[in-house]
Amino acid sequence: MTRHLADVEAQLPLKALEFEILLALHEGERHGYGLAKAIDARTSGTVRPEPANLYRRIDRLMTVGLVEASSRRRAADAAAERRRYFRITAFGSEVLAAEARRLRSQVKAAVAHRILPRLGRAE
Amino acid sequence: MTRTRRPPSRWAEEVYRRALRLLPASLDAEFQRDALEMFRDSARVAREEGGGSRVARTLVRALLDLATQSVAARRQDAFAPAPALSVHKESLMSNLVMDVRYAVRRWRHAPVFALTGTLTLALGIGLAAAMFSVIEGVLIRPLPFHESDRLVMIWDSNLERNRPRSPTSPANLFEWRRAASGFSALSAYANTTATLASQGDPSRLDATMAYWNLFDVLGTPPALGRTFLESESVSGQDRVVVISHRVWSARFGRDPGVVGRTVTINDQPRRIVGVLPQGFALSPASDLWLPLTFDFNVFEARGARFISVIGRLAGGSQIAAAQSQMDALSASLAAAHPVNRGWRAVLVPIREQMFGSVQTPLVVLAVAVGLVMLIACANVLNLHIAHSSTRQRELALRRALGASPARLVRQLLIESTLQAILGAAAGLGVAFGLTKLVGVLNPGTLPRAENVGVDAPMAVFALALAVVAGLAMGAVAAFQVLRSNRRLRAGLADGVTHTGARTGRRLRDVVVATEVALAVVLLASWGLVGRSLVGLLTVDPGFDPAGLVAGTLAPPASRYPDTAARAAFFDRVTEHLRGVPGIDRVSVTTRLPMTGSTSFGYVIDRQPLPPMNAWTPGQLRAVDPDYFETMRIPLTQGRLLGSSDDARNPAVVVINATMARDLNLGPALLGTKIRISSGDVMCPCEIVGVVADVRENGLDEGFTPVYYLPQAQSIWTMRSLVVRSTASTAVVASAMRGAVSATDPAIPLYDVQPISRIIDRRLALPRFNAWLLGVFAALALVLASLGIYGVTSFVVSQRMPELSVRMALGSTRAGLVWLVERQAMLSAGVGLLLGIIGALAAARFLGPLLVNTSTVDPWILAGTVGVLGVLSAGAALLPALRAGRIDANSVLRQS
Repeated sequence: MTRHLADVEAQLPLKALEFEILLALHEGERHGYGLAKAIDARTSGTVRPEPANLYRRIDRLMTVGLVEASSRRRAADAAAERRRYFRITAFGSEVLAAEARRLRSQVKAAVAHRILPRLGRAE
Repeated sequence: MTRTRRPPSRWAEEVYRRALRLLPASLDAEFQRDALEMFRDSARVAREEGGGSRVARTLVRALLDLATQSVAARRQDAFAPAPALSVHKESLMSNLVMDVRYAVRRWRHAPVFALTGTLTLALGIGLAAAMFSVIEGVLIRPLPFHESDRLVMIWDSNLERNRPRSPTSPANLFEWRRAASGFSALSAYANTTATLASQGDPSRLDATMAYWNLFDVLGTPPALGRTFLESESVSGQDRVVVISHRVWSARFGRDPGVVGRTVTINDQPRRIVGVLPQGFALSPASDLWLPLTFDFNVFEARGARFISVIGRLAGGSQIAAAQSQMDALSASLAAAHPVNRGWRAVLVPIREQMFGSVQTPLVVLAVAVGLVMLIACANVLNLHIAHSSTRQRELALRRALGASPARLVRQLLIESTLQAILGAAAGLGVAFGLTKLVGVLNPGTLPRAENVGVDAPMAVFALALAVVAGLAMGAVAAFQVLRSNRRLRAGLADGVTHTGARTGRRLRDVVVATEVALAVVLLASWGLVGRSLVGLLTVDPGFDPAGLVAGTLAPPASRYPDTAARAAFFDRVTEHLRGVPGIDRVSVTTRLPMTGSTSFGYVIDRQPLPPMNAWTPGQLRAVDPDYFETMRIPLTQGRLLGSSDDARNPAVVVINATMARDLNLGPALLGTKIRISSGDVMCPCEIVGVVADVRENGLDEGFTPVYYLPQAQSIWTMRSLVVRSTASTAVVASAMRGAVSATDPAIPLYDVQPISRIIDRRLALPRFNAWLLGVFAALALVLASLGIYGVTSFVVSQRMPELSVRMALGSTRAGLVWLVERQAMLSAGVGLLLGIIGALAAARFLGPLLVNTSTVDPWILAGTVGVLGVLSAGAALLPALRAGRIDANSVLRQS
């Protein structure tokens, strides 16, 4: 499935939580709680998704085709059988990269305006 | 995961689960499951890490999140679809399709509910559509005349002689044409019969003598050829005929070359000059139209009243004004001519003339059908209400998930309307059958019955009725849903209880009471009409109709010019018949009972004679000596007519009992001489005998004076041949035809039928009314019983837990049955009371359909109430017994 650049651009910018979800799924398939934990860990607790919010975001990402439900189930956990696992789509990865590039250019601009120190330096 | 860990977090999970239901519909079940799953994970971890307080904090955070997301999602739903017009329309359409699909899916899950409702509606709508077809085809459809509302019949009326609508004389026609400026034109016609001989056997057809301008006044152009010319209204110039569309089709195969062809009518050649359009009929329908000519000086025979006059009101002239003008004219004519005294011209709009007699019965039947339709709707409504109570949870969930009330109402409206439309489609099938039935039951007095059938206006009516009924039922069901809206949310929290049931029950009770009341009205009305019919059936006609067969024939004046020739002809026919084995008696008369009247005044022959218009009116019958024995009319005094009462002997007369009582002469009656105002009778004639009364004017009419003259002493043309036999009608009929054709093969014998059929024809309309009302009443009973059964069943199933508790607390089974039965009988009882009031009110409108029957009949009312009471109790008993068989333990365990 090849998508136009315009399709990718149309998805930008992502909401912070959506970016985190895509980022977490980029590492591998996860279910809702796993996703929340990963995000919590990466942001050191600054982004702590609650269920409704998280799934509403996932719903949207699925609707626009950035995320899809995985058919994989982890059979070891009986309760997990009911859980849905999610994974990022190829289009999702493209959008994630595009969003990262957009953020980088913004960070670059902030550095050029001396709002942020140069990368690699201590804050 | 262990049992010890789970309970503490379960309450939090439960709270979260319930809270999830507040989410809008756009967040679906899968979403809820996922969110709940995740919350469960968080709660478990929180529990493991920090105990109950941590779980509580998790819950509060999750709930706050839920609330935020719910609001956000709602806002998104509200603004999401781009409000472009085309898109909006499309979504409305797709929503509609969705609703329809949803309805069909629900029906698949409740097929009995869907089928019962649809069939009930099919019945109701079918009945209503059939009735609509009758009313539309017979009463409403425009008459085949130009501006028919300006056409009026002008009758001569003489109330003293009990002749409210009599034909008038040609003299009056000409006087009226000269003086009445309220009319743009006047014309006249007279009904008769004529023998048509073209290809094949001669046949006797209904014919109309039409004054030359009749078709111009009616505004009816012919389908082929032309109508009459003024020059053809002169005797000798009148050898032309205009034929009906029916004869043109049946006898001439719709041959367009028929105009100009010569046919033989009443032994005379006549040229066909025109064919009338299809559907054209003055009443009664006529097949041959001959020019009306007057071969006598009309102004010298002012008493000859035999033509019906029809007029077209002049532009701007109103019927009341025309009537007062005619009143003045009648007064001046009465002053100038003694024979006109007591007579007054009365105007009757042609529509009233043609439909006056059937209008009331049809309207009564239409109202009855309306009632049945209402009961059918009430039943279906009941089903809907019962059904919507069971689906309150479903509706509550949809509502909680964000479906607007308008959306739910629309769903209910679409469901009920869709069902009604399906019912209408099936109803057209019912209507098709019913219109065929009307054709079969048609009493013959229903004009334009050929217009009755399934057609486009009927389909449109059925569809419109379905939409109205569907919307109305949906609206009531929706109203109930909206009213219990608030309680719905509570009902959701309770899980399974049926909180909406109470309002539903009240509404259902009202519906049941209404059904019962309407059924009482219909059944009581049928009782009255049926009683009136039974009364008519048991009326003694005054003669013995069993085994009598009659036929009509008319020897043409051209070949049988005088009394002697005609008498000889009839003698030969009767002689011939008497020789046929199986035929007991043969007789001839001028007119059979119940086939119309020939009225002339009579007076006791003493000087000075009062003026002729002061003579008492009586029915004239000329009969042969065997008439009384053939008819089995008993002699009460004196002697019957004999073969010696002929032209060579003194004139005699036999009178009926009513006339004897009116004359009031005591023992001096026999031997008294009377005079009769007809010039065609030997007078004065001596009363030699008195016979019992015969219902000459119909079973529903009283007796009038009748005098029987010997055939040989009058010049009245015999028309009817009567035979008493034990053989079958077919055998007798062929013997009669054989006798006539052996005597003169050119004379057709027609209207051959058992005399009982003549009586039956008089009973046809009451029978028609009683039959249809009976069918409607039966339907109403069935529907009302079904309604009570359905409601009670539903109530029992709803009250199962309550009944179980009662049972557990010591109620007996009989007590439970009575509890259910009492509730059903309470609403039925209210219905019975309302029904009695309704029936008494309705009876007042039934008056015109009743003969010798009081509109208030306590026995019929009591019987109706009894029947419906028993039916209601019986219909409620089945579910009530089910309540009595309740297994309290299992019900309680379930709940």
